[in-house]
Amino acid sequence: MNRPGDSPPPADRRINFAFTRDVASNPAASSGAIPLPPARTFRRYPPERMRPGQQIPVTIAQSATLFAGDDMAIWINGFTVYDTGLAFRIEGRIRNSTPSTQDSATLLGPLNVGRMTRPHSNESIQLTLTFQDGTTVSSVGSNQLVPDDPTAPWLDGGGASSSRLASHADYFLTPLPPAGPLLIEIAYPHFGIPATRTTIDLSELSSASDNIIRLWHNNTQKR
Amino acid sequence: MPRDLPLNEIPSLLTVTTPLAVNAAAAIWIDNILVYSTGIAFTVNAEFRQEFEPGTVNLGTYAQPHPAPSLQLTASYSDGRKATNTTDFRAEPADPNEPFLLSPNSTSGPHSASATYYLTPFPAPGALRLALTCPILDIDETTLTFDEVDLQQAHHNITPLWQENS
Repeated sequence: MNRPGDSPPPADRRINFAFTRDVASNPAASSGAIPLPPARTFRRYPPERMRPGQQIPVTIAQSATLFAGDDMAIWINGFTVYDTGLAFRIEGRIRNSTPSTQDSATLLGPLNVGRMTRPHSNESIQLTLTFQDGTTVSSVGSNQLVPDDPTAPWLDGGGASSSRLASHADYFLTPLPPAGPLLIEIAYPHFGIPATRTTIDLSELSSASDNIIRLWHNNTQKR
Repeated sequence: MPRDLPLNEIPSLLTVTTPLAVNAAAAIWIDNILVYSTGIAFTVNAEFRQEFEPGTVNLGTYAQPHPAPSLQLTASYSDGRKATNTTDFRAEPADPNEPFLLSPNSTSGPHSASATYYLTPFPAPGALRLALTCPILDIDETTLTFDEVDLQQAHHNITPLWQENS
């Protein structure tokens, strides 16, 4: 009879578990049995949706104050016409309230006038454009994916920046919308800004497009 | 900073219709000209041919770690005062009436470059001349003149928003 201490205790028995797929009867075949993940269908950002290079665009001197309140303002100053689309910048400002009161915009800030909602916690401005022919394009909702149809309008939100009091975001709308009035609707529920509409006159769009200086024929794009 | 863009007004847009300079390999133009109560902001843009390969084109004034500035810019007020972009970044003159050219942002790519500038204070009555030279792009001195009437009209069209509390 073994008494405790007469012999070393049995080694701890270890059982290692691993969960595997069924091993095929043919080991050679099973060596490659771990399936590859499905091919990811990355789609390169379509060049025609990017601001083109190698040309001097034309500025249409149309400005629009999209919202102006006691402690916030949002506006667009000018539209830049490229041969493939229309660029514009949305600017936002928040009043520097010192000390910040409970309902001041400073406490809600910063404004995110771009279309990327992360890493921002304040969501983003909701921007919808309606062209003269009734076509609409929006920065929100299902329109986040570049459409396959190159003639379908697409609003790209490129660079954006926001600090406590000042924000801006650059947009590029492709293809060029029809000349005529452009209805701009914004809303920003986080800041209590209801749907607000402003119409600007883009009747100069056709002549502006004609005045673009094409420099060289290279397919370069920039965002 | 006293020389920064004012944040309590909507600036007025001024447009120019002609590019500053175009040669066989490069082009430079100014756009996004915004008139504030305290000065004028604008963007200098350059495009150059792919084959040209001038190296990194730095249209701004940051020298480190970027290559040396490629652009020489001089603003001349009608009363004789001048500002150049060769002043060290943030080396603001103590005298608020002395013109100063600040370049807050610049970008550079293989075929294009741009830089924003802010000229303070708002020019004295009269025309404002911007002279620009960009040797790296073989662009000799070229001048853009802002007419006094256009400047004053733009200044008049600034939209004040609110009084700043601090």
